Amino acid sequence: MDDEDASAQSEGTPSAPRRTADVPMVAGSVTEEGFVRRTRALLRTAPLHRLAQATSWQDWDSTPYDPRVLSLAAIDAVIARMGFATELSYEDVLVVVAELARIAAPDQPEDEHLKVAAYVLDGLLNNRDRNDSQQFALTYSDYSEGHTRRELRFFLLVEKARPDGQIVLEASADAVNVFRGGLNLRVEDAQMAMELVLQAQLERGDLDEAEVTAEQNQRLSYEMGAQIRALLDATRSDVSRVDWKGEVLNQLDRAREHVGQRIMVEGQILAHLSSGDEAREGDVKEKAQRVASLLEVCLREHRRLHERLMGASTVFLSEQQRQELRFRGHGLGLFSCADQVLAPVLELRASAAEEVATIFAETVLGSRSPRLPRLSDFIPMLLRQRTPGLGDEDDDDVPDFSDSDDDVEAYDPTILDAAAIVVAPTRERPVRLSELLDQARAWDPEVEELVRLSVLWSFAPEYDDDELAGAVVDLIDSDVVVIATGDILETEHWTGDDLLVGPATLLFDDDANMVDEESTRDADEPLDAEETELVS
Amino acid sequence: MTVAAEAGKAAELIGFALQPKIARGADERYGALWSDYRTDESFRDVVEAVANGLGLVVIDATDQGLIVAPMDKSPFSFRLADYQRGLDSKKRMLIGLVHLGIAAVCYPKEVDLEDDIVIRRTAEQVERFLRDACARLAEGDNRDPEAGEEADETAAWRAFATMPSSIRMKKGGYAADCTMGIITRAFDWLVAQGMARDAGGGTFQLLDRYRVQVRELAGHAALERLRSLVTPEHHEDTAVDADAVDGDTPTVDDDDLDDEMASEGAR
Repeated sequence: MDDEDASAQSEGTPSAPRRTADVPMVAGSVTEEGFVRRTRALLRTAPLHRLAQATSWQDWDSTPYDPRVLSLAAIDAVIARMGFATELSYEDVLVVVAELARIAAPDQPEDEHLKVAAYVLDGLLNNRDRNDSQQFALTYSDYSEGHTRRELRFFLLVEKARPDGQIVLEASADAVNVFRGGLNLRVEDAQMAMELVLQAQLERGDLDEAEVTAEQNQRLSYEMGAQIRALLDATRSDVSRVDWKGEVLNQLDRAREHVGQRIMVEGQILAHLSSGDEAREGDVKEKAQRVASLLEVCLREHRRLHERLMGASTVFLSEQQRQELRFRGHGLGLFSCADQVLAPVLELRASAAEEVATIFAETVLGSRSPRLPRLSDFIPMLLRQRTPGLGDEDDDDVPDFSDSDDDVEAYDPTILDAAAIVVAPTRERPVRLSELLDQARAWDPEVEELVRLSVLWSFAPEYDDDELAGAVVDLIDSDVVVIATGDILETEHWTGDDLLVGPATLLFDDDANMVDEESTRDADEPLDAEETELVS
Repeated sequence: MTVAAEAGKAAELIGFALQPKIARGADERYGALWSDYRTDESFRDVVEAVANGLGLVVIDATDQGLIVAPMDKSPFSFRLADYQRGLDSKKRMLIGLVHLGIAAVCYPKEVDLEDDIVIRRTAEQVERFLRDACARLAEGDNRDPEAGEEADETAAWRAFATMPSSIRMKKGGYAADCTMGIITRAFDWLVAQGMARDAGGGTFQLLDRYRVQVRELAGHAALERLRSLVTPEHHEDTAVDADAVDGDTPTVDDDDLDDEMASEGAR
């Protein structure tokens, strides 16, 4: 998440300032800091306007829709849930915006409403199909010292993973700014003022006005929340990027004090409201309650922030420690994946490019055994004598797998590739059939089928159908063997004995038990260890 | 706590880290171990020692969990050949190029590697990005005087440029011998490895873990190898780098590279 500091930092190198030209007297404000701030606030609304203008490229008629309003609605929706357990996902917001699009053009097909919604949302995420950064980047003229072209980089909405792994949308502090309409005010001041106004309105008994003010107050709370979160996030992402000793500590102190004050004042206003409650009637009472509930939301948000702020120094200390210790790979520097890595590799001769590209791919894919066999399962399995299967089923009860007409030639190379990937680890370590099937299912039902058939064929080849032989032999290595574990395999679709597929050297480790490929495939395997297909 | 119990906990945490699809917030035990790692310095040391012993290195402890990566020649090292058999060198190169392409589309500029956000990209975007890059190289090709030197071996981009873009299978999906097929499969691998999620409709969400992997490891590994290939072997600076990736091959001074990149990144 970006904040003011970070965006200021990420500004590109300004072109050499021109000779200071004399700014006309009447336009004197362009040199003021406040002017630059307003410029930057204005720029943050640019993506919304661009969205409204670029609709001619879309395959739907844009006339009934207002992308600006839809954008604001999307940002609103995201902000309203930020920090709560029910933060919205991309899909959630898509539904919300599509619904608004439907109301605008009820006669258009649902499909179109979704397209409009995706257009708006992708626009706010800057997912548009350009070869560009995820951040918005806009340039502007800064007259504060002569004339400088500067670049402003910012986010509006971003997708983030929560600690529980769910991916949700968040609004950046910049987006909350857009939401507020780019007011050039310090948050704290605005909120204090708002409370004074609110108190005055309540004293006058002007509940309609008070409700509006309380709503605005609530938005300010969200904005401050976003800023504080951005500050803490910035700390978390890199301690060295924030000036902790000076600015940040002060900022946090100010914020803590401010939030403490808000909690107090909001408590007072709430008390004031409830004290007059009995005297109010009907409509008036309802309004008072609405104001009260808005204030309660603010209060809740502020309490939460206060808690976070109290823990802020701990965040810093533990982050500092963590980041000092953090593994920094081969260096601290950042690099451009497009210009510094991809571009030169493309120009290399093929063999050299292969070296570099392979190293990258192998490194980026992480570790090889994301699922190690659990020792508690694994050791007893290795020690257990091979036992006959559980039942005494007749040959006839064994379902006929040849009922599928697919011969191996009919499998796509895609399916074969995927199945090969799934069974590949069995050359290294024993893997349960159930695990293989789980993985295969993640690819495709056909991959699952192929893996199942291949393992079965390796286990008890007497059931082989001629048409299976080719693929199966290819898929499972000849030095990989299959044994029954004695455990029951029960999945949604299959039931039977679970099998263990792995290298012969691991599964039959001493000479006496050494089983070569031929004997494994001999028909001495119990028939009832076959998988039986559930009739579905 | 006894040494053994502490080591057991550490191993347990590493076990979670090796299952990248499990988020620490989704598993109570993982969450507890993770927060011990973040707060208890001595436990952190134990975790790192156990990881190192296994040939792993702890890269980061993000909000989603602990990230570990295999060290060079670790039993956990990922090898393309392990996961797909019968890859010839051209196919390996194309798979690698596609992975570089995915990273380039996600993080085209230095600053893009800084934000811990989830990025959505489609296979088509990667395809277009790579095709555009090839087209630019094709344009400038005639003017490149060095092209003749390697006349007997084609440049990498040509292999990509000459491969058909998309061959659709009857049953849906792309054939293995087209660039879209390689790209979608590369994404599938990233999904299988917990680096990405499939958002449906050909769109993938690249997770923070992926960014960390690119930023801390893969990018540098590629850059280092790139430099060792591009720079002539007789390099004057003879600073011996103890932890150079390949002790047996002549490498350029790593510090040069780091400094250069640090200054790039500092902007």
